[in-house]
Parts: sequence; C-alpha cells; structure tokens
Amino acid sequence: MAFDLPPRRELPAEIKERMRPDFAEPPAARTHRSRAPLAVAAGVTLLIAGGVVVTQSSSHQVSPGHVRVVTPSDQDLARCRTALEDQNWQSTEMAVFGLRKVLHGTDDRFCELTRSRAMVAERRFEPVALQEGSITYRSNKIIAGVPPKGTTTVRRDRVAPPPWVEPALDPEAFNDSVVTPSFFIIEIWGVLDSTPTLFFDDRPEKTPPISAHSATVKESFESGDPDGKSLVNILAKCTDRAWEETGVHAERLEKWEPVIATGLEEGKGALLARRGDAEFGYCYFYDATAPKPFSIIDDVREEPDEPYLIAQAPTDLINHGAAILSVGQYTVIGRVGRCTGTVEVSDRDGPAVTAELADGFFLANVPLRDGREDLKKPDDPLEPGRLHVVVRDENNEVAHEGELK
Amino acid sequence: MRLMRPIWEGAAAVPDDAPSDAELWARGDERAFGLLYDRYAEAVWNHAYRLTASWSTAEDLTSATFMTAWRRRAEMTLVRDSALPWLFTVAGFLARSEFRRKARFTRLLHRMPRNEVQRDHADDVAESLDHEARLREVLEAVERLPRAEREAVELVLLGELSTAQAAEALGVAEVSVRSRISRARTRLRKQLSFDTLEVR
Repeated sequence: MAFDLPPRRELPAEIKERMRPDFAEPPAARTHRSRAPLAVAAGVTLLIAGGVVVTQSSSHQVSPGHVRVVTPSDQDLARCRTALEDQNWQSTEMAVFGLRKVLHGTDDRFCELTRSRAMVAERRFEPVALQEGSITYRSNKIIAGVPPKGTTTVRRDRVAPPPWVEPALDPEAFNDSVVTPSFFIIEIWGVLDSTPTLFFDDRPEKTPPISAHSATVKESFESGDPDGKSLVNILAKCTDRAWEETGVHAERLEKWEPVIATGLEEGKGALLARRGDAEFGYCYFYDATAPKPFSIIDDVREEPDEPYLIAQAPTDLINHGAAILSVGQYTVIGRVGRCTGTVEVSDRDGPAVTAELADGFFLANVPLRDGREDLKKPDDPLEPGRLHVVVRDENNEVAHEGELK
Repeated sequence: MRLMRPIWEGAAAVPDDAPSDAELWARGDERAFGLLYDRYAEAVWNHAYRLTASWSTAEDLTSATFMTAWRRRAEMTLVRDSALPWLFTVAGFLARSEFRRKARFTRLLHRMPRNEVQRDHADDVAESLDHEARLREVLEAVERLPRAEREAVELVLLGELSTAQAAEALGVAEVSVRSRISRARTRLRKQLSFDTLEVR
C-alpha cells in the first residue's frame, strides 16, 4: 500500500487574511541586524542557498580585520611551537573563530588550535600561488594565506550553512573570515571542495586543487594536561566535536567543568559536566580518543517524583563486519532527587551496578543480562522496560524500585 | 491578459507582465511582499500542513515563514526566478525548530487528532482524519531520517519541488539530492506500514 500525500486544499480567503503577516516594520529595523555570536567579520560573507544570495546589509559598518586580531597567550604559543616542532616560532597575531584560534606567525606560517587539537601545515605542503597573494595553509575548516595588496574583504564562493544548524537561516554565523594587510583567514562550515573560488574584494580567484588533508593534526589540550584520557580533555574533545558538527553556539560550550564519569578506566562510558549550578550536559566516549559531541541537557527536573532516564547509548560495541554490531553494555544517564544515597541499575534481572552519583544525576555502565546482543545500528536504544533501578536514600532505605522510564 | 502557468500547483498564476519574484524581492516594500504573499500563501500553507500534520499549526507556520522572509529581505537578494524553494526551505527550518513540537503538543492537549478546517460531510472528516494520522506517521518516520535525507524528503517528496530546485535550495548537487531521496525511500519503506511515500 502506498501513501498518497494529502491533497492540497484551496486556501479560504478568511484564512489567507488571518495568516497575512504585518509587512510593516519601523525603518530602523530594516537596517540593523544583530549578529550571531560566532559571526564577527563584516562584509565578508556571501551565501547562495535556496536561490538566495545573502550579502552583508549595505548599512553594516565594515570592520577592518585587524580589529579582530589579538595577541596569543603564552600557552597558545607553546602549543603551536610543539605542533610545529619549532621552539623559536613567533606569533603576535591571532584570530578567534568561536572555539577555534588561528595564529599567524612572523614567518607567515599558520597554526590552528581547538581545545583538543593543534594543526599546522604538513612539512611537504607548498604555498599555492594565486594571481596575487597566496594560500599558505589549508585544513578541513580553514583556508589562510597572504591576500592581494589592498584587500579589505575576503570570502569564498557558494557556502551554505548546514540546514540543521540553529538558529535557522543565520548564514553569517557559519562562514567567517578575517583579513589584514599581511594575512587572511577564512573559516568554512561544511564540506569544502578542493578548488574553491575565493573572492578578494569581490574579485574571484579560482584556487588550484589543495587537499583538505594538507594539515597535520596533533592532540594538544587547552587545559595544559597532556593526558588525553583525563576528564577535562575528554570534555574538550566532546565540545570540539559539538562545535564542529552540531552548530551549537560557542558561548553555549564555554565554561563547562566535568563532574563525574563512568567507565573512564575502560575508556567506554560517559561523563557529566556542569556549568554553574543549573546547567548540565554529558557526552559518551567509546574510547577516549573518539568521544561523541557534547550534549546539553535542556530540561532538568528538580527533585523528580521518581528516577527518570535522560539518555542511553551502547558503549561497548564490537564490529563483526559490514553491518553487524554486538553490544555488551549500555551507558545510562538519569536523574533522581539530590538527597539520594545510592542508585543501582540493571538490565532486567541481570547483575546490578552501582551508579556514579552527583547533583541529582546518575551515570552507570549497565552490562546486558544475556551477554552480548546484536544491534542493527550503533545507536539502537534498549527496548523500553528493560532497565531496572533501585534507589536508596541516605539511610540506605529503598526509596524507589522499578522500571527506569 | 495572458496568464503564466504557476510554477507549482497551489501557487497563484500571475500575469506574464507582472514583476518577477526577484524584482518584488528587490523592491522589498510592503506592497511587494504583499504580492509575494498572494502568490505563494496557498502553496506554503499546504506545504506547512504536510510538515506538521496540523492545519492550525500550518497557519502559524505560514505566517512565520513569510515574516522571516520579510525580516531578512534587506540581507538577501533573490537570484532565482521563484521564491518558492526558499520559502519551503524556511518553512522546513521553522517546522523542525519550533512548529512541529507545537503541533505535537496541541494534539496531546486535545487528546485526539483534530482536523481544524471543518468540513460539512462526515465522510470527508473521517477521510481527512485518516490522512492526518497517516501523515503524522510519515512525519515521525521522516524526523528519524538523517538530516541531509530529511531535508531532501521535505522538499522533494512532501514539497514536490523538483530535485533541481531542492538542490538549489540546499546548496548541493542535484545528484546528491537524488541519492539522498533514494536512501531515504529505503529507510522509510522499512519504517512505514505502507510501501513508500509517493509523489502524486
């Protein structure tokens, strides 16, 4: 049986008039546009999506690139020197794109930093000459180099924001650039083709093919802790991934601190993070080198009547081939009252594990009762009703027992 | 006066000497946007229903879609002949971010499916409710698709835009839209009680 789309209806006149927006707006509202937090460079973006070219409003003041250039910290410099394997490398200029920093060296080399990585041009990478200027650095998110003399704006061609990104239709937030007399940097959202056309003050310049893998990527942590499996660094990897893949605003990823984790030693579990007293988030890690994007818990219920499940994911996966996955444990994240003493979670009547507990949240790696099970997809949830929970109060009295919903 | 064929069923026909969508967009005044609204209100309203399975939510979504276009007119220049693919894209964004949740909430509030546009004939109502229930099933399956496929499905299968128009709207190659649709059909077949989502 096939599903036919609902037939279109003729729009009744009264509904049409009821829906008609008030196309009247104070003149001031037409010219002032507040910028998204990530978008700072003015006069540098153009987007074609849905047959629409989005350009800078003519009323915008074009900010010179040097306004956005700041001095890198000693730590930023140290991370770049390590990545470049050149302890004498010098830089006094850095542009910040959300969670990404790009340093411009006095020798015109670039160094790109996120919270968990440092990227520099591969040794064999040769600068690519343009008609005027050159490209001296290219990663999967950044194009940088020397602009033609007198350039005040730079952008790339045809860049569409990922359609899933919030806030919807705010393309300026996702294509950003900085240009100064001595260098330019373009940050790219989404997939970048190997031969983008760059526009220097609207003069197109087709670039020769450059691999997106022209940069060397190394682990390097803003925390200063070199241990890639420490909580703070796993969190850094999670927020980097959230920044690059989910489009969440940078300010939403600032100032998080890890609180508790489960499965840290095995490298398979989840961590809970906190920002202030009221905001919480989590991320899973299958092994500490490849955690999932950080997720912010939007709806935190205070003192729930009974424990509830916030999220679950299989975190002990074995790939048996093209499409067969076996899972041995699920990691669950849930919420209970803040005065809870202990929480035990089990798969049906399988072995119970005591959850990690903090701030009314609990995290547990729950082994499957029957050992491993096959999954169709790596993110298949457990069937409803399988998880059993026992909550005890501070006096070790059972306060709740039953299905974890 | 000769009438142009509407580019999409449900879009109002316009005289061939009438200003193009791009010209109206460029003018950017209240009257110009009023004319764009007259051209596409019905098309967007019907598409909004297919995105939300709720006629009352479709009204809000339609208003919000045109209001978004109006508010962003100063920073955009329409380069295609038709504003419709972009309006559909806007409606899709808004539906996902806000209106679908609202439609779901409204249904929960009423504890039963409602057909907000009343019909006289009981059979019509029953048929409509059946469509609405099945549309909801489709939308829930569409929501579970990967984002890229969901976008393509909303524009091509629900919006009935051509793959070329959808490709323009999404800023990707037409062949990518075709492959996304193909993959999405396969997934939908597995999830839905009926074989597939057909374009009428």
